Amino acid sequence: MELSVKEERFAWKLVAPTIILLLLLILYPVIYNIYISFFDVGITSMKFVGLENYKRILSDKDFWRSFFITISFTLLTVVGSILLGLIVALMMNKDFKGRRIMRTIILLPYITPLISVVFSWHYIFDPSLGPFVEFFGRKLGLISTDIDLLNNINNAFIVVSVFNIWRNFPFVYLMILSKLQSIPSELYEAAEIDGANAWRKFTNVTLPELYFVIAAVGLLRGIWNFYKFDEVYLMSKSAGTLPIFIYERVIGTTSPEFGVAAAIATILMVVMMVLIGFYVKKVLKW
Amino acid sequence: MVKRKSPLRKFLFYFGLVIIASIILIPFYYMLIVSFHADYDPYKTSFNNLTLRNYAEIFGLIQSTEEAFFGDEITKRNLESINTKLERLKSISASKESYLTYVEETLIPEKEKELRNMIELIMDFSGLTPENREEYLQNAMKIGTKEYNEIMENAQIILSEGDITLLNDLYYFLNNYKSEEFLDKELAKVKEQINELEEQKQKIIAEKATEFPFLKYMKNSLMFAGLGALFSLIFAMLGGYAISRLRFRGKGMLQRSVLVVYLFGGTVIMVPLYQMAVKLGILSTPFGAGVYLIIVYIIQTLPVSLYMLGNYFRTIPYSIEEAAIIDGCTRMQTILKIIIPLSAPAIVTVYIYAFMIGWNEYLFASAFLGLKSYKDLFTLPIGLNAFSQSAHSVWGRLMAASLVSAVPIIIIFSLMEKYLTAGFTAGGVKE
Amino acid sequence: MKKLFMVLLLVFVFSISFSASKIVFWHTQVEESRQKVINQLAETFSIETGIEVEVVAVEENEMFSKLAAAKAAGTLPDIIEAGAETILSLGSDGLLDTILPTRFINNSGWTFYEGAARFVMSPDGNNYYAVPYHGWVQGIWYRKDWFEEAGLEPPVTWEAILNAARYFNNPDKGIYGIVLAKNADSYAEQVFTIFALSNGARIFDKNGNIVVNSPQMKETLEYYRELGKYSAPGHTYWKQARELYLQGKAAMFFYSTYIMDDLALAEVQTKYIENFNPELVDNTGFAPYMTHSRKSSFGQVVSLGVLNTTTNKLGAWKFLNFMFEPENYVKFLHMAPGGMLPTTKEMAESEVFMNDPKGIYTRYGKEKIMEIIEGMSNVEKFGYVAGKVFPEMGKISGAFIIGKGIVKMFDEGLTPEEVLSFWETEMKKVTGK
Repeated sequence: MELSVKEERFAWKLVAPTIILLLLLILYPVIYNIYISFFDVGITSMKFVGLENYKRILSDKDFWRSFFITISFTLLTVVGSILLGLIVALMMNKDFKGRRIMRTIILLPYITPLISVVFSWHYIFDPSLGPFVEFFGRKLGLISTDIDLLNNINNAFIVVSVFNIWRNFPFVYLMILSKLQSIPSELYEAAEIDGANAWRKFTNVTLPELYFVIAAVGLLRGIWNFYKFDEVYLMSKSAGTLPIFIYERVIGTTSPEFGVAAAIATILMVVMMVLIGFYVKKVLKW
Repeated sequence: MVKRKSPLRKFLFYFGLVIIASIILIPFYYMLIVSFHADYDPYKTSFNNLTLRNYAEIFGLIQSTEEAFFGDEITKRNLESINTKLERLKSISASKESYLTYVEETLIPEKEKELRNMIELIMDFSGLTPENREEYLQNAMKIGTKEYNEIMENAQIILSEGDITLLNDLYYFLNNYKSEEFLDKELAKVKEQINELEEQKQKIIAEKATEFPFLKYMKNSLMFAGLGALFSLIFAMLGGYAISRLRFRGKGMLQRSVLVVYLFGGTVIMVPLYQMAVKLGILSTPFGAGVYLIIVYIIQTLPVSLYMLGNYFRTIPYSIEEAAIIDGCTRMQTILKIIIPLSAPAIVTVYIYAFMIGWNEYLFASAFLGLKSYKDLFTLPIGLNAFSQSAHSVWGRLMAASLVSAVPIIIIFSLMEKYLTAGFTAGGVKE
Repeated sequence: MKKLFMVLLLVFVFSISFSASKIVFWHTQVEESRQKVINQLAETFSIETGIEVEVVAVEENEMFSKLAAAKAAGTLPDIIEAGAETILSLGSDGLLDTILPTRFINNSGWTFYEGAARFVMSPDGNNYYAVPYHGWVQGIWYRKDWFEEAGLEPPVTWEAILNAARYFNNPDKGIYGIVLAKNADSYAEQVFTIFALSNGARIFDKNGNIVVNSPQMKETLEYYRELGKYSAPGHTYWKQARELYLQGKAAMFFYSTYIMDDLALAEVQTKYIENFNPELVDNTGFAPYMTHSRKSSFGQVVSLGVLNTTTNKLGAWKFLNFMFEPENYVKFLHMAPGGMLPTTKEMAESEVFMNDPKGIYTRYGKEKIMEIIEGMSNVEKFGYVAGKVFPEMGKISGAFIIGKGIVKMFDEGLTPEEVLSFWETEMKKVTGK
C-alpha cells in the first residue's frame, strides 16, 4: 500500500510538466476558443453577442465557398496520396537494383523542409517565367500561355492539392510498406494453389490485409489536411481553405476579428469531430 | 519470392520507377539549377552563365552586388553628416575664446528661437491665448515672471519629465552662459560629444548591412527548434517513464488525451493562443515572443514524443531495472543510469522529429514574431518567406537559400534513415 | 512554468517603465540597409541632444494594426513616419497631433512644397496632420529603344498605351506588352488611380459622397480589362513588373521613381551576366503622367507625424528639427536615390542633394530631377477632391478594396458593372456611409 502511494506520487511528479503544459496550452485554449466565439472581440473590448458570430459566418457566402474548397481539398489529397503511396509501396515491395537509393529519393519530399520546396514549386508554376508554362504552353501548346495556375482563385487549390499529394504520399507509402512486409507469404502461396493470377492475388489477399492500415492512414491524413495551414498558405494564398480564411481574419488583417475567427475554428472542430466519429464507426468499425 | 519476369514487364516496372523518381526530383532539379544563376539572368534554366555568387552571398562571403559597387561610397556618405558635425564641434571647441564667440554669435540666437518655439507650443497645447501674444512671450522667456510661472505650471501637466528637464536646461543655458563655470561644463560636454561621434564613426565603418541575413535566420531556427525539442524530450522522457512503468490513477486518461492532442492542428488553437498572448502583453517584447514560441513548440511536439518514448521504454525488460533497484538505486537514478542509455537510439530519433517540426513550423512563428517584425528573431521559414516578398528577392538567391536550409535535414535523415523510418511507422509524425 | 511567467512579467514591466523617458519612433523603411541609416541618425540625435530614441521598423500595411495593439497596451510611439493615406486615416481618427506639425511647417524656416503639404492637411484646411518628409512619383517606365524602333508614341495617352501593349505583346516568346497590377494590394490601387483620374473618374464627390459607380469609372474598368489582355498573366504586382522588365521581357511597367536606383544596379550587374542589356538605363523612358479626358499623375508623400498621446512634445519638436537639418536630411534622402525626393525647396535646390552616392541624379540631370520633383505637386489621389480632403480614403486603401475588385474582374470574370457595385457596397461599408 505504502509503495503504491509512493509510486503514484512519483509518477505524478514525472508527468506534472506535461499535464500542466497540456492544460495550459491545449485544453485551456480550446475552451477559451469556444468562449470567445460568443463575443465581439476587439483589440481592447469584449462584448457578448451570443450566437451573432455564428449567424454571420453561416450566412456568409465566402465561408461556404471556403468550406467546400476545404472538403474537396481534403478528399482529393487523401485519395491521391493513398493511391500514389499504395502504388509506390507495391513497387518498392519487390527486389530490384537501386532499391536503396530509390528508398531515399521517395522520402525526399516528406523530409525536406516545407519552406525549401515551396519556392521551387512557385518557380515551376510561375505564369510568366516558369518551366511548366514554357514546356506545356509554349513548346507543346497544350495549355494557354496566359493561365495562372498558382494564384487564380478558381484553380489555385488544384496546384495546392497536387503539391500536398507530392509532399505527403511518402508517409502513406511508409505505413503501407511496413504492413505489406508483414503479410505472411503463406497467404499468397495458398492463393497461388487456388490458381489466382496477380490481380486476383492483389484483390483477394493484399487489399483485405491492407484495409485497416489504409483506413487508418486515411483518417490521419484526412484530419491533418483538413487543418492544414502552412503547406496551403505558402503554396498559394488564393487557395482559400478554411485555415487560411481564419488566418486572414486574425493575423493577415488590419482589424482582427477574433470572435469570428474563433467561431470558425469551433465550427471546424465540431465538423471534424462528427466526421471522425462517423469514420471510426463505419470505416474502421471500432 | 524470386520469379521470372518477361522483359516487357521488367521494362514497364523500371519505366514506372523512373517516372516516379523524376516527379519527385523535378522541384529539386529546378532548385539547384536556378540557384546557380545570377540576379536578373533571363535564361535561368540554361546551363550557361553558371555562378556560385548566390551561395557566396547568403553565407556572407561576398557582398551583395549593390554593396560591392556602391558600398564604399555609401559608407563614405553616411559618415559625411557625422564628419560635418565633428568639424564644426572641433572648430568651436578649439579654445575657450572661440567657444564663447560661438555661443554668443550662433548658439544663443538659436537657443532663443528654440525656447520661443517651445513656449509657443506649450501655449498652444494648453490653450493659452493672451491678449498680447508677443508681450506674453517676451515675459515668459524670463525666469520668475508671472507668465513664466504659468508656462511652467502648464508644462508640468502636459509634458513628460524628460521634456521639463529639457525646458529647464534651456532656461538655465540662456541665463547662465556668461558664467565661467558654466562655460567650462558646456565645453566638457562638447568634448564628450566629439568622443561619442568618433565612436559612432568607427561603428559605422565596421557595420555591414545584409539585405538577407540568412545565417541569422539559420541560427534562430536552430535555437527555437533545438530548445523546443530539448525541453520536449526532457518532459517526454519523464512522462514516458511514468506511463510505461508506473501505475497511477488517470494514466489511461492521460494517454488518451495525448492522442487527442496529437490530432489537433495548430489552426484551432492559434486564435486563442494568439489572443492570450496579446492580452498578457507577452508579444510586446522580443524576449517574451521568443520564449512563448519555444513553449508552443514544446507543446506541439510533446504528445508525439511522449507516445513514441513511452512505447520504446516498454520494450526494455523490467528485470534490468530491478537489479539496479536491488543494488540501492533510486527510481530517478535508474532512469538516468539505465533507461536513458539503453534507449539512446529512440531518444535521438524523437529529438530529431521534434527538431524537424520546429525547423519547419510557419504558422506560430509568423503569428508571434512576424506580426511585430522582430526581425532579429526570424526563423528560416518566415525569414525566407519575408525575403521572397521583398524587392531584393531574386529567384537565384531564394533557391540557394532554400537548398542550404534543406541540406542539414536531408543529411541527418540519410544518416539515420533506418531509425527514422521505423519511427515514422511507429507513430507517424504529427504535422 | 510559473517562474517563466514571472520572468516574462518582469521583463514586460521593465520595458514599460524604461520607455517613459525616451522618444519612440516608428518608420516604414523596413529594408535592412535603410534601417541601418535611420538607426545611425537616431544615435547621432541622442549624442547631440541626450534624448534616447527607440527606432522600430513597421511594414506600411501593418501600421494600423500595430498602432491599435500599441494603443491597447499603452505603448504608442511618439513619432511615426508613414504615407499620406495612413496619416490621413490616423488623423481622422484623432490619433495625431496637429499643433506641432502646423507650427513646424509655418515656423521652422523651411519652405515646403505646397503640393506635398496639401496631402497632410486637415479637412478644414487650417492645420496639418504631419510634416511632409519625402515622396515619390509613379508612372510608366518603358523601353524607349523598342518604341523608337517601332515608331510608336510615348505611352502617355490611353490609345498610345493600348497600341504599344498590343504591338509588343507576344506571350509565345515570353514577351509581354505591359505588366499591369492584378493583385489585391495597394500597388493595384496605385496603378488604377492614375487611369481613373485621367478619365475624371472619382471615388468621392466634393461633398464626400461615394460616387464610384459612374460611367467614367466603368469606362476605365473596361479599358483596364482590355489592357489586361496584353499584360503578363497572373496576379502580377510590382515584383513581377520589376523582374520581367529588368530581364528584358516587358515593354512597359508601372513603378515609382524608386526604380531609378534598380536600373542603375541592373547595369552594374552586367559584370556577371553577359547577355544582359547594359544600356537599360539609357534605353528606358519615363512617362510621369497620363492623359485621357484630362491629365493626371500619381505619387506618394511620406510624412512625419506626432501622436497626440505623447508627453515628449518638446523632444519630438527637437527630433523634427534634427531630421530637417541639411546634413541629416540629405543622409536620409540618399538612402534611396530617386525614390526619396525632398519636400522642401531648400533641399531640392541644394548641390548636396543632387550629388547622391550612386550618381543617379547626375545621370538623369538636374533638369529632369527638378521636373520630377515639381511633378509631385501635380500628384492626384482619390482622397483629395477640389481642395478638400476625405480621410475615409485611408480606410478604403487599408482594406485593399480596389485591388480586390480588380482581382475579381480578372479571376472570376466579373463585368465592370459588377465590380463597380462590389466597390460601392464595400466602400460604403468601410467608410460607414
